[in-house]
This record gives sequence, C-alpha cells and structure tokens, in this order.
Amino acid sequence: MKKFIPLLIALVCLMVSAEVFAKSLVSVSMKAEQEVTINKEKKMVAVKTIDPGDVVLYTISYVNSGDEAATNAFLDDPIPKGTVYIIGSAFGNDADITFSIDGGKTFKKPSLLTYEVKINGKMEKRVASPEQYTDIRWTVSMIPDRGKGQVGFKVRVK
Amino acid sequence: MKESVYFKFKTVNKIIKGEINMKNIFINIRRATTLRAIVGSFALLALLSFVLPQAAQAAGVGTSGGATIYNTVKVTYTSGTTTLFASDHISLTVSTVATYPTLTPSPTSQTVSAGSGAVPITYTYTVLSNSNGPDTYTASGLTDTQTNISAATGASITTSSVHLWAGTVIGSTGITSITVPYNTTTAGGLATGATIKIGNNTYTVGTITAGTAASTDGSGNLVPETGDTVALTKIAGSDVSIATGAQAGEYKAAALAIAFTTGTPTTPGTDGSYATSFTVTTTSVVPSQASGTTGTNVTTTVVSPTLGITKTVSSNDPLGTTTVKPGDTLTYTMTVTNASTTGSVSSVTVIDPVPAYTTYVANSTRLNSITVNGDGATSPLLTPGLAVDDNYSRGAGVLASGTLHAHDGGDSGRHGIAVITYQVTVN
Repeated sequence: MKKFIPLLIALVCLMVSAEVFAKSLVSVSMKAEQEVTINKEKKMVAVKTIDPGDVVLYTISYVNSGDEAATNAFLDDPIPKGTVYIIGSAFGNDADITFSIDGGKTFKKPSLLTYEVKINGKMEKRVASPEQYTDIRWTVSMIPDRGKGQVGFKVRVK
Repeated sequence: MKESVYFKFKTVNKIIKGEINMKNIFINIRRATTLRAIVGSFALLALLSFVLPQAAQAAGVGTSGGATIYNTVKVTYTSGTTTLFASDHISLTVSTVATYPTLTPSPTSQTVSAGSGAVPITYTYTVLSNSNGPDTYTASGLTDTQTNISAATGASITTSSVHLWAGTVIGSTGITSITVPYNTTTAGGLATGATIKIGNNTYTVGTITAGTAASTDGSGNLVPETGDTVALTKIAGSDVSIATGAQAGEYKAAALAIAFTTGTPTTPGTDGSYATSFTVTTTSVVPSQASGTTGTNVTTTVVSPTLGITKTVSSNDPLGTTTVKPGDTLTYTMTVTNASTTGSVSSVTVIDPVPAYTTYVANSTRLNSITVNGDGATSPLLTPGLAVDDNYSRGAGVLASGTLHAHDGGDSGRHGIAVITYQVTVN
C-alpha cells in the first residue's frame, strides 16, 4: 500500500494542477473564397486576387483548444475597406449576429440600425443600408472545450 | 459546461448556389435557450436570401487594381475570469480589369500629293487609360484598305506598346491632390511628371506620398490603411472638385505610332484613299482580354493631279489675231491651273513648240511676269519644256522646282495658277 502513496500524491497533484491550470484557448482562422464554375459545377475556391464587382465569402473558423469552456465570446470583423456587405449573408449557427454603423462602437440588429437625417428641418429616422455597415459581431455565449464553429459573411468588392 | 447538451448536427447544405458547406459543424444548443434555435433558423433564412440575384454592379471602374482588401477578425472571450483575445486576418489583391483605352490619332487625317510617296506618312496616337488599374496596351495587326491607289508600302506599327497607370480616387483635396489605395501609385508605374485625366480635367502629377498598409495591432484590432497621396497641378479643364470613386487614368501623347508611304492614284483624276487601322490589346486578362480597333482608324487621301490649261493669243496688230500678217508680234498666254484645293502637283512641265512660220522673240518667256532664267534666243518651252513653279516669292528667274501648289481659292494669283507667256513674230 505504501508504495502507492507517491502515485496517489502524483495523481492528486495532477488533478489539482488540472483544476488550477484549466483554461480555455480560442483561436480563429479566416479564409476567403469565391464561387467558380468548373465543368458546370459550382465550387467555392480559395482566392488571393479578386476583381471589382466580385463576391467574396469570408469564413471564420473558431476552435477552443483549451480544456475549459470560453464564455462571452465576441467575434468582431470590420467590413474590409473597398467592399460592401451583402445583405443577409452573415451566418453563424449558434451565434447572435449584430452589425455596427459607427465603426464598432455599438452593435445592433439590422432592423434596429437607424441613423437620423435632417429633412425639411425635421430629424427623420432611417434604417441603415448594408453599404453603411462598418462592422459585424457574432456573439457566442459559450464555446465549450474542444468546441468549434464557423461564422462568415459575404462582401462585394467595389 | 454542465448546463449544456451537445450533439452533432450534421447538415449538408445544398443551397442552390452552394454558397456554404456546413458539413460537420458542431452545434451546441443550451437546454434553456430555444431562442437560439430560432436565431439559427433566421441565419438559415439569411443564407437563402442570397440565392436571389445580386444587383448589377454600379457603373464605374471599381476599386483600384493592386489595392489590398484587408479583413481582420478578432475573437474576445472569457476564460474563467480572464478576458483573452485572438485574431486572424487575410489580404486579397484587387485585379486590374481589362478595359479598352481611348485612342486619339494625331492628325486625324492627312492629305498628300501624288508623287510624294517617298516621304513616310506618320500618325501618332494619344492613349488614355479607362481602367481601374495599371495596364500595358499593345498595338498589333495593322490592316489597310486601299481605294484607287497603288504601291502603298511599308505600313507598320512603329511604336507598339505603352504602359499607363490608372486608379480609383478614394479621397481628394479640392483639385490639388487625390488619395488612392495604398501601394497603387509608384507600384503601378505612376511617376511624378506624368499626365492624368480625372473627369474633364487634365493634371500633371506632382509629389507622390506613400501611405501605409492596413494591419492588425497587438490588441487584435484593425489599423486601417492610409492611402497613397498624389499632388496634382491642373493643366486643362473646368472641374472644381474630384469625386470619390472617380477614375483617374494616365494618358500619353505619341504613345503608339504607325508609318507608311502612300502610292499614287490608280485612276488619274480621282483621289485615292489609304485607310489603316490596328488592334489594341490589354495585358490584363480580367475578366477576359479586352481588345478593339476603336480610335485607330485613319484615312490618308492621295490627291490625284488635276491640271487645267488654257491658251490664248493676242497681237500687236489692231486687226486682232483672226488674220495676221508678216511682222506682227503675237503673244501666247498659257494659264496652268491646279484644280485641287488640298494637294499640290509636282513634276509639272509645260511644252509648247514655237509655231511654224513664226520666230521666237528672244528672252520673251515669262512665268508669272518674271523672266525665266536661262531664256535666250531659243524658247525654253521646246522639249523638254519649262518647269512650272507658281511661287512668286522665289528669286527672279529661278525655277527651283516644278511644283504647282494647291489652289488656295483666295489669293488665286499666287497659288495654284501659273501664267506663262512668250512672244513670236510672224515671218
């Protein structure tokens, strides 16, 4: 029995250390793709160059390689300069998608994104158009350990 | 973690356009939040919505060729009580779209004389870029259409390619400077001293100041790029501002050139014409190679010589010239006229043998009232004849050439008409 004691201590230490050092480690990676037709079959292929007017699909993959869940995760992506967000293209299962028209200061649902313009001396509320979107935020309340997911959106190159 | 239930949600999304492939995406649905499922359905609806055709790209050239589309994403999350972040970014380069330039020939047409075929006729072309980025334009395939003309030779493209800068304005200060995306000026071949057109104005390029590339800082946040700035000096045009999104295109005079020699009209009396055109091709292959012939067509008219001649005689005898008697002095006047108002006629000679039963009056030949050099006891109008030059301003009595200039319609005594007189006495 005595000889098991060090092993037990080691095991306890390991458990304690696991408890102490348990943490979440989230990483993201982004890819840019474009739809092409090869042999009449439409495929998404990775791109490095892009033509004005083309549509680019950005897919962001996130993974928690830690051993604890990550909470209150925000994935923030400023819409690239020289592009316009394509309405309705943002996706992300398990994510709440909001947009900003003020450079990332505030994020709201598209229908709540309003700005005021002065018309005939009166301030009028207008719903922002996708051209005015500056940032996209995906809110994922929890990414479990070893959990992963994908979010993304499309833009049209000006 | 303890509050969550996990299951694998396998979908193979075959939404018509195949936009997104969501194979094997782990989805966790928290027990309490059915709301999440609703959000998920909305996301799916959103996905379906872009099956709808996209609005056509607005007219314009689009983002500058060579510009960088920089996208960065930052994830902020809480691990225990610590807030952590991670980020990734991706850069795409915008291509130059193959766009046919504007060509303007100089001159737009030419009229030359028959017989001037040995002198090469040249046309140069001003080329203006209409593109969103730098490109090299190449001329090839010179073709010609010869109408009533023979022996036109040597038609060739003598300057066959030109590189022109172009870009899209993203900001401006009045008309004194523009900003274009980072790394799209000198990298695209723009240099101080170049000439560019924006809208209706023409500018000389001054100092070019490089911007900075977009980046992601140590906190995972985007640092936007600053564009390259180009100082401008207006040299023509009346625009008072430069709009964001305006296309700026370099243009070069004599950027392309052709040369050839004309032949002579096949049917005398009818002008010949020599029309040429060539193909200009862009180097950029996006979306497909652009080429065309617009603006390259020039027509050279080769004027056929059309000379008229009238001959009159007068006498010193009061009875006139109906009947003459020995000893009378007769004055013959020949008026040679070039009917063309555009082309001169070269190598003109007039031959007029002295009539029988008359004797040439020594030194009596005049060309436009000026004594003909070398005149003497013998008529210079005998073979090989007298070369005609209608230019009054030449040295007296010197027949430097045999060219009859084009009829100017106004000062008709000076150009286009040669009046030759000589006298004989009746034997």
